[in-house]
Amino acid sequence: MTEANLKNRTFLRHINLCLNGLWESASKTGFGCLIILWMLTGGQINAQETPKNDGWSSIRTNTLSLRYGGKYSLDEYFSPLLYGGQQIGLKNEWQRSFAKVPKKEINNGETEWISVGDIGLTGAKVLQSQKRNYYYELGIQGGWGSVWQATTQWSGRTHKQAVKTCVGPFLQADLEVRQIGSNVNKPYSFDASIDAMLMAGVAYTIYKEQYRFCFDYQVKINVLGAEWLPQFGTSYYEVTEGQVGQNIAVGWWGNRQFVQQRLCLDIQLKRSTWRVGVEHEYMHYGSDHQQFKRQYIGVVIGTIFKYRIKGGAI
Amino acid sequence: MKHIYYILAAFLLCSCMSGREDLQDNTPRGNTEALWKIIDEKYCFVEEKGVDWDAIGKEYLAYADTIKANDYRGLFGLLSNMLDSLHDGHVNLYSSFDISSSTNWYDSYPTNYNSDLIYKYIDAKPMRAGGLTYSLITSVTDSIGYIRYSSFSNGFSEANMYYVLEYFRHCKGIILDVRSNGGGSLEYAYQLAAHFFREKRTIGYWHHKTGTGHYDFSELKPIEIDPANVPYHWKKPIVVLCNRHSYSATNTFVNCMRYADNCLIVGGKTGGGGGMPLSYELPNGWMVRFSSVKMYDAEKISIEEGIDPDKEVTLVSEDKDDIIDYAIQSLL
Repeated sequence: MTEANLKNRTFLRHINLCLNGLWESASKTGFGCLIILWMLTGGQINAQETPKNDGWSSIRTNTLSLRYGGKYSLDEYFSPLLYGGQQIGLKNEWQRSFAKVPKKEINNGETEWISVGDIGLTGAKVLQSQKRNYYYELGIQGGWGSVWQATTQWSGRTHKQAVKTCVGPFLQADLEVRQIGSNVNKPYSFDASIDAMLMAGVAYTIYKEQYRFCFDYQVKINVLGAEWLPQFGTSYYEVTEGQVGQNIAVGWWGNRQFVQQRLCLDIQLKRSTWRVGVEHEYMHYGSDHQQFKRQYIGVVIGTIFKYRIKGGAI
Repeated sequence: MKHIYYILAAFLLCSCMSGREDLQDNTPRGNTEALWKIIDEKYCFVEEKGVDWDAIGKEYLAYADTIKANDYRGLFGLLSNMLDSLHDGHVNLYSSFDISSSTNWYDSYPTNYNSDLIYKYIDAKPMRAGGLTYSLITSVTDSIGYIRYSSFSNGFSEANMYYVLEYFRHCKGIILDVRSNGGGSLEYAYQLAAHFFREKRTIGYWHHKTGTGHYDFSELKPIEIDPANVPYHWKKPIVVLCNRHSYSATNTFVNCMRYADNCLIVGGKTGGGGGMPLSYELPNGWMVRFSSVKMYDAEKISIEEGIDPDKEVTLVSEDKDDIIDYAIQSLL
């Protein structure tokens, strides 16, 4: 066996031991989740550096985050009772300037359009309030938008500060499939929608030597969209028989409320940037006879990394 | 930093937008009210059953007030009795310790089925293909096939059906026995029936509740049967045996077979259960099952109360199956 092979085997063994240990700790403590996140993103963190704008490449900022929190669901297709439990998720958000040639520095008062997008996966188990039944929930969410961003900068006595505000449209698709533990003839239900949302945010940044602290608040509110809204007594058989069209409705803020917001603190420590924060999601829609609601409040732990894409234009 | 406080305050304010929306309290009265309301608004046969549901609600709410909060068995008994007044086998209450089921929809009918008597007509060890049990009728010289399907919860494949029908290819006819088959999957009912159709036919209609009113229903939509996409179709006579315990999906299957080619329905009236069941939950977590989709035959007559056979035959003998005997005679 060559020395290289031996090193590889030792390395794999270490990885294996790490993963086994991580699995145990992750299943018991929230701290384990943090370690898994580090495993997933550590490579990028170490490799990242503040990109140099040489005029021909575009800078893309990615945020990979782990999300964990409590949620409740009300799905009157299944039950009038509230179901509550825990949800875990993984989300990747990115943003990139539309400018073909990124500016080396944004000057005070300048504005620009940036492209933003995200995709996330969630999994949850929620229990009936009487703990006699449960749902398994699996969600996927993704979207893309473009926001207008304005930057205001000033220098304080000790450090430089900046406030960035943004607002713009965001097109979002949302699917959360629900399987109920015990039911007759209706094993599945789901929230499914496509929404044109209004996205807004404000970020306050403090630059201090090699460190950077950014308080970032972002909110998305639906304006208009289409949603899956099953009719009152529709059976599972009828839905699977192809009678789908009658269960799709137009949703706007008046009959459907969908809000997503988060408040995060991004901390840049030398060459790595971390994100901690809280987030909240609220969705409520339905007809006179059948209501659907879900609410989630949880914590976000993530890492931010930047990289350059050749070609500049999106 | 003042801005940050404003943002945080707004965030927390938005987080408190909603609260619990349980319909009733988890008390004997609250659960009784909830059950009454679920049936009143979601059950599709309130009018067809001919009961005064408002009066029943008042009567049972008065009883509910006499039940102690921790007497869950007493409450279960009360709610079960309330549901029994609907005479519907699809209306059940599920708890962790018991399941209620109404028996009054078949109590006054003859049983018309004895599993021991069947073995006087078929092999002691019949063959099995999926959920189907089959054999030749041994008591007659001219061969007649016999298929027993005891539950539409037990699946079968097209391959199973092919080999069963191929085995009976040289028979004069077959007997398909669905007596005391309490139902199961509607898909198996349609799948089985499709083997006895030579062309596409409308065998019935269905519609579902669209609102809380007793007459709030969607438009009738036809239910059609396409012939099975298999190399061999049964074209010879078939006799379907049924009784009052042929319920739910079996009731639907018998309705389908009324429109099949060369088919005779023999035995007793089916049990009905022509509404497709859904379920919902009470504030205490118990589950209630009920029908919310009405089904009709091709003449738009409800099949909820059962289907009369083409030839009514009652099992009266103790040593022979009169219904199978009649089926054999009709095939010879």
